[in-house]
Amino acid sequence: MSAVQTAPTTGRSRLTLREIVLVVVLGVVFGFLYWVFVQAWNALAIAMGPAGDLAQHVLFGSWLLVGPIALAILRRPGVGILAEMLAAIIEVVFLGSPVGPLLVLSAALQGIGSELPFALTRYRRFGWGVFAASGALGAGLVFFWTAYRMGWYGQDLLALRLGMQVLSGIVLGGLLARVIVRALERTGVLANFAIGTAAQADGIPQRHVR
Amino acid sequence: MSAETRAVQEEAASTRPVASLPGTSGGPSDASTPAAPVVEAQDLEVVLPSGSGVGPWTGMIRAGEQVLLLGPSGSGKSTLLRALAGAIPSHQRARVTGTLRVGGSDPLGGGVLATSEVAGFLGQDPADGVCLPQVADDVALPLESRCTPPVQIGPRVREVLAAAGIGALGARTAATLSGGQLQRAGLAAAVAARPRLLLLDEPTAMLDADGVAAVRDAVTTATAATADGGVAAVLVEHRLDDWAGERGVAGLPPRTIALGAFGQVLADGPTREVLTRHGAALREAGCWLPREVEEEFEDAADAALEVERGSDADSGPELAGGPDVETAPAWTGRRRTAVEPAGVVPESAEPLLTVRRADLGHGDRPVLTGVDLTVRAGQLLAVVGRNGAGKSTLLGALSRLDPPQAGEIDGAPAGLVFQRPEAQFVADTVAGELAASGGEPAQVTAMLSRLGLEEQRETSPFTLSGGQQRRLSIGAMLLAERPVLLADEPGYGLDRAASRTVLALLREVADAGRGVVIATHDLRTVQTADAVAVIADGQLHPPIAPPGLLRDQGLLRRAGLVPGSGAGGIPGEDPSIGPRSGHGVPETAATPSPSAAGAASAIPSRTDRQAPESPPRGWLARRNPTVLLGLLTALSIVCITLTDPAPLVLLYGLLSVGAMLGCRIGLRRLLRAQVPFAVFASGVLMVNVLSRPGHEPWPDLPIRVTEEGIVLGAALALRALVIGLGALIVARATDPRRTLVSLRQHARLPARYAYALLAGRRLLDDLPRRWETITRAHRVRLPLTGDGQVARLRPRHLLRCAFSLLVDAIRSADRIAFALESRGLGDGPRTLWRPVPLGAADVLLALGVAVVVTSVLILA
Repeated sequence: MSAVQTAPTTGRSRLTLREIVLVVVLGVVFGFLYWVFVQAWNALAIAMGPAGDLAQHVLFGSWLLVGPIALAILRRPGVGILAEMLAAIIEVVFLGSPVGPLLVLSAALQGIGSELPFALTRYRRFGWGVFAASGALGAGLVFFWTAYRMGWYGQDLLALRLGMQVLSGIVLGGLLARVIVRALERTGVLANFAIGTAAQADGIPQRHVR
Repeated sequence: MSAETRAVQEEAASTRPVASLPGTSGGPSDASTPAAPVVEAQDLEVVLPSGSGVGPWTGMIRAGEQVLLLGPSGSGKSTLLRALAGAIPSHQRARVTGTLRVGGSDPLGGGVLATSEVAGFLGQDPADGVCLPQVADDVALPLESRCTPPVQIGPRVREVLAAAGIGALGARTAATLSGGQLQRAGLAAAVAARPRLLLLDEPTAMLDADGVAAVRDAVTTATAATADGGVAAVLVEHRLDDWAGERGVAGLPPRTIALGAFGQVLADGPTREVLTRHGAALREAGCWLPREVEEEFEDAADAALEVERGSDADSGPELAGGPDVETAPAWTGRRRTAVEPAGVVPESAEPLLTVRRADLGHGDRPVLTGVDLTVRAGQLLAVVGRNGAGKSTLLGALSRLDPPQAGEIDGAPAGLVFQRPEAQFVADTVAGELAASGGEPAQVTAMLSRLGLEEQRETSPFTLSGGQQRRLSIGAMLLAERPVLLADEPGYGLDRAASRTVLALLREVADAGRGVVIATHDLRTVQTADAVAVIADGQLHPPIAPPGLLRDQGLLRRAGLVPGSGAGGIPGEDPSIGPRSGHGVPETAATPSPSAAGAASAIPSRTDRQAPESPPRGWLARRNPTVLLGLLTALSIVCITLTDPAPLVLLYGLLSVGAMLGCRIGLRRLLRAQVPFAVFASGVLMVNVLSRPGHEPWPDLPIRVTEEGIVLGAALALRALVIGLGALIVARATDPRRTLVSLRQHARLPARYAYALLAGRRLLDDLPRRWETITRAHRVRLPLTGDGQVARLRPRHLLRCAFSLLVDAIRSADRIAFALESRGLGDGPRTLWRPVPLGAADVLLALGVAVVVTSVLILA
């Protein structure tokens, strides 16, 4: 008789199809939700009048969410970058993003920034500080590329833009991600991913037979 | 193995009918067993993290053998089925002991992928039955995974679709199919690669009687069609009567494995024998049994009712003699459910809700016309009708989510319990859920004990079982103090015990003086009602007493309660209605209500391109998507290096011409599509004009305007316009399938990623519908406004809805991954049925664009 006790794996180098599909689904849902909430974005842009261009920095962090959420659930190297890039592919191929394919490059930079703090803690720490750092770096790193792409260098507002974007990254792209992950964990839908395995380190109990 | 489990196993062995035991030592050499085993299990036991488990099971299933897996909720039927499919422990944490072989592979070690060579799987939610956007692609997927030569794939896809009775639907997008059609398409995909074992996990849970009959017939065809011993099948099914159809127990799989409440194997043998010997125990444990078996228990328990049945049977003309006596609902006049009808509610009872000559529906098309209905205090009214007939439209109107298009509705908005309670949860804990309805702490505590949920007080409502969720949902609605309570399919997916508890709760609500309306397609639920109203052909028929309906075969058919629609197809299968699924309000899928207009207006504009009647048009639409994306990337890079407006203006003009010629877009449409880009671009221009230091041509202005700002701002705004227009052209000229297949072929995107993304596209098509369901469900939970109207959702409510959508989608992710793997999607070699060509015209296009862009850069 053989005995197998397996949890969905965390150690192997290759992602399982379940993990890939989860990352895709996160990208799809957040793509859809961004689109639903884009009205809020537009309202904010109009409310800010001539500074409407700046509104994008206030909400920038929300674009980062997928990376840290996927990392916290799957706890695997590269997942943050992959999540951002797949989300960008979904934006470009399915939703016809007006940014075009270069969005994938931006997404990769965001992903690298978001993933760095998790990588530095070797995917073992998921506290507020790590999430905040993830949001800050995710927003900060890509800023310089976007600034080039959008011609922000030479404007008076460069520092203000950077400040707003990093702050948004910390709040919406870092701390909010942790709030969402914790709430998802409570619902039990993550039980069969790495995050659930970590929470149930004591294994599977004796069978109840009454 | 613990002593405890061994004891259980011994008990199981002792209760097994020895004569029919399909030999634990038998093999191909055994003379008495003609067919080779497909499944062999030895002491197989699965224990889940919750501590519940199934097994130990020792036994085998032979080629061609049809097996029914029977047991109450929580007995581990689905767990055992998933273990056979290889999903445990590879997809789901569990401790598995013993050995299992499925067709020579080891599901425990090899996972779903290894088992997919032998087994096909079909689950209960039609929304997950088809996992790629186009039906034919989904059916072709397992064939491609088995490296079937591409020339053979097309004929086989057509063959299995035709065998499933949906031969004409291969080219359709999954989003346009009804629930019954989706389930049959899922079945076609499950059997396309000729599996030797078919695993069916409640495949009919969400269908009306015609849908059940169609799926059952398709299964019968699929399992009978092969010459080499036939396809074995294991079926988990709550709706045994609908599945068995007119043949009664003889219509069920001939062999049954029965599980007890705690997952122990009670019996394994011929279905009738198992039902006879263990029916009482199964029934006691809360398991649904076939009607005729239940009747035997009733007969034994209460012979006195025999007389009543006789008189009732005589009064129904259809029941007069003949061989069909067995098949007609001879139990019609009998009160055999715990929840007894309270008798006809007098006309004098207080009317709580009155509908007068109302036309109901969304958009410009009424679903129901001339509706007259009065819901009275103390009344439990059932509403029946086919999938898509308008039940949910009626509930939407009674709950005042949708105003009537004509006529009037009097009375306070009714509370509504959705088919999937999860759509309605607004709090983090069970207690919070009740408090959110306005319950005081003492009321919450009292309600918790009434619902039997004291122990779950602080847990997340999402972790509850189906029956618990339904009870919680009803309890939360009760605390909201609405005079009328509506419930959409309250018994859906529940076992006998849970279903009876829920119905008893609803009866209690009615007895306490409220009105209750239940939309259902379950005959047993109809029996518990005081009156039943049939929706058919766009009309709501006046309520009648349930026995009257049950005697009227014609009306039963029109109500979708028994199979058999008239000539000319199945009205319930009207594809415009959209899938009947747990997520849904099918009538609203096609024409979203204004309340969810935010969700449902722009995604359809993308799906337009997908619909069969408007595929991408023009010369560019026939070009290779990878080439198009590559060209757009190159163009974007060129654009972001330009700081001079002149070449950008030229590029913009040329692109516009290219769009009109290459994609056949009219000028107006082209301009309209660019409005959002223009808004963004003008913002970019403005910010640059105002914020860039430099030479000021008009120093007298109150604000600083610089020349550098104007020039660079114009260039940056034009960049956004050019790239945006390019993206628009590529989006119009490509469709997701061609793009991802091409990226796989020509850009080395791995197959697992390409198909996971395509499955994501399928989910994306479904999200507007789910979003609408969730937002409607949440609106019902809000307190009414001061003037008694249903309130609108505020931003924080929308965030809650977003969270519900996320939870729902993550559950889908699990099922999508399982479905894709069960279609053999891995990293191994595979063929491609319909490749995307890369030809001379694509090279020509690339060269042409390169020449034009270079010329522009040189000239300007």
